[in-house]
Amino acid sequence: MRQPQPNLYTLSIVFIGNFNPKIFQPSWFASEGLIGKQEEEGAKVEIIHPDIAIFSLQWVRVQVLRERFSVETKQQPYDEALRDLAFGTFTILKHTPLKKMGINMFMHFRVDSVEKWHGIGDKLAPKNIWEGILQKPGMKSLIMKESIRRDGYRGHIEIKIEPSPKVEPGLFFSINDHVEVKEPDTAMGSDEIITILKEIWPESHRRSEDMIYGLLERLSV
Amino acid sequence: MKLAQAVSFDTTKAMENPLHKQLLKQFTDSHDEVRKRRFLEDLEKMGTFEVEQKEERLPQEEMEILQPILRYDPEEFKERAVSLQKWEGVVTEVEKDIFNARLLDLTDDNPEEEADFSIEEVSEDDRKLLKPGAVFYWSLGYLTTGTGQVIRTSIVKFRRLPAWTETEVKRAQEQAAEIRRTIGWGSDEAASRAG
Repeated sequence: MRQPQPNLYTLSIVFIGNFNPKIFQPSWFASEGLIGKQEEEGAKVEIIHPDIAIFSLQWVRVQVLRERFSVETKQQPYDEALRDLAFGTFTILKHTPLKKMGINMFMHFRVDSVEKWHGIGDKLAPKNIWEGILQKPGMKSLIMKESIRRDGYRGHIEIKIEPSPKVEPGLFFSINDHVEVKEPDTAMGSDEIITILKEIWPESHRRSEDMIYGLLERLSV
Repeated sequence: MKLAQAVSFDTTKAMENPLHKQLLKQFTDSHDEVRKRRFLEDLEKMGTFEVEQKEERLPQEEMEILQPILRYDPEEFKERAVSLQKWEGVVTEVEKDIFNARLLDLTDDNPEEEADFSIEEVSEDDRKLLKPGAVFYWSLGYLTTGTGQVIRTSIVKFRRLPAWTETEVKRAQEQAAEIRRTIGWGSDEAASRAG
């Protein structure tokens, strides 16, 4: 069991490619068996339009634009179901060209005190270099990037740390695990990306958690 | 690296986007003031987001992939659940009120376990999927409701993946035949007769 537990959590899977938003309706997902009949009936549809489709179920929010498909959950018990929904959708829509994928994990953690919160900012971005340039400088955002993926795929891993805008005083962590197909400009179908999704998922999920908890430990949160 | 430009948010410009217009009209027509206000707030955030994309070190597409574009949360999406322990299960036997499953710990490296579950733990939707061989995810944790109440939870969610296509079945049969040949396990004909 990981400690501390995040105050807020989001996991999202984003595909970049070419989509027809209008088909992404709860009834389509239900007819393909990707969601249940009762889930379909309880779906909250925000908009279905040729350019955009947004709806949510109790555990997932689906958002589709012409160049982007994303599913996200704020509920950890459904992480694997989120992967299955993304994987299942484009196993069926196998001729949809998918070029890029982001598996993104976001967590917010409360910090015990404002003093400790400032201390973390000082640790991540020491202030002495700013002396004489800024008065009372504060860290607003820090992004670190691993440019060459360890698994050999095209893409990168990016970690962003910011003061949490939702939990005060708190920290916001964002992990963007980004993968691209070998030839993004000529991607013909979904097979390459969803095969990568299936292959890297367990490691990606574990690594993102390890990165966040590793940093928390080093920052003594 | 170019520095991000300080740009103030221009609502008029954002509203030139036909999608934004349509969403705003939808909320106005339905007198949904809460969503309308949130949507306008999110448009403002998007204004800030666009400014951040002007940094050379962060190409536009890399920034864009981080999050969905429209980020206003409806009230009903405020429920949040945390897993303390998670397993992937495979159903081995189904009886009248219970089912038995093999469990693989997804949180820690623990040995495989077996457990009995009450069928009542499974949602009406997922009960149609309950049969030997079905895969499910089991999570123990807690759920925070929209009103802040914290509830201990046990969530069982069955895996939903499309049925295998004929091509996939054929490919799997070819791979199986190749494995049989490699380990010298009888002829293809004998193997296919055996099913």
